[in-house]
Amino acid sequence: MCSSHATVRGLLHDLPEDEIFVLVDAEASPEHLSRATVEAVDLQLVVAEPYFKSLETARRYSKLGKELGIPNVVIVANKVKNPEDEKAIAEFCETHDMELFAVIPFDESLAQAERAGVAPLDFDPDAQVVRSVKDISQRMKERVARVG
Amino acid sequence: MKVAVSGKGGSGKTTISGTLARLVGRSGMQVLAIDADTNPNLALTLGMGTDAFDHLVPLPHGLMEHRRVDGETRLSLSRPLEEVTAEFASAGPDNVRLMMVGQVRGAGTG
Ligand SMILES: Nc1ncnc2c1ncn2[C@@H]1O[C@H](COP(=O)(O)OP(=O)(O)O)[C@@H](O)[C@H]1O
Ligand SMILES: [Mg+2]
Repeated sequence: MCSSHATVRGLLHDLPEDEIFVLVDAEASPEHLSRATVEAVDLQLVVAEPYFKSLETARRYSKLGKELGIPNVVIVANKVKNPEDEKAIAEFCETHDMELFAVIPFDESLAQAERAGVAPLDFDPDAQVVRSVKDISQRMKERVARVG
Repeated sequence: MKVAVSGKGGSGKTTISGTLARLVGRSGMQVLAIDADTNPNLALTLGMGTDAFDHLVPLPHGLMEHRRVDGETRLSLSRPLEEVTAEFASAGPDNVRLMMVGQVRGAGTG
């Protein structure tokens, strides 16, 4: 497995900065950070659900990302069901010096999209989750320019 | 820009990755989506269907060679990037191309 991390690490370094948008869907294991696989990215979106184990994982992955030297490491809260969820995440982020960049609500339409076997965007372009991700796409460039 | 999406299993990485890739692509930018999960499912979230999925070939390690770049020795593509993406990235909707990396090629081959 060692070689695949080194391969992706090298590939990400080789890919151009500007002409294209490169997006890596990492695996759940922390190896993409501990083996420096994603070292060359400009932005790490750390996805966290509003429960303790998920937030703890996000805290560790954020720390590893920052130690790797990724210039922008931010939290994306996902599957947020109510204001209490959002408040709990905001407080956790505040306590641990993590930047809460976006909050994506729990979206029932995703289960329907999955049952229908289509991409969320094709199932309902107006879905809550699609609108939230569109907001991320519009703000991430500015966020990266600010620091990176 | 290069973005990595990380987090606990089931948190929504692939949902966010696939949707983000499509939306950026739709705005006119060329997108390279990289599925680095050993249990990959980004193709489906991108809307590429299971047929495409079964034909995706993971990027072979043999395409990389050790090179000295910026004062360190690391793996680097041994062929031009355009050639590699043409051969190993599959076209999906909205200007998105998908590349698989790090997966095993079949049972018992890892
Ligand atoms: N905002 C959301 N609301 C409801 N369900 C969601 C949301 N985001 C993701 N999911 C669901 O959670 C499950 C895991 O999502 P996935 O993107 O595959 O996670 P990961 O790639 O992190 O393992 C999927 O069934 C997906 O449809
Ligand atoms: Mg996934």
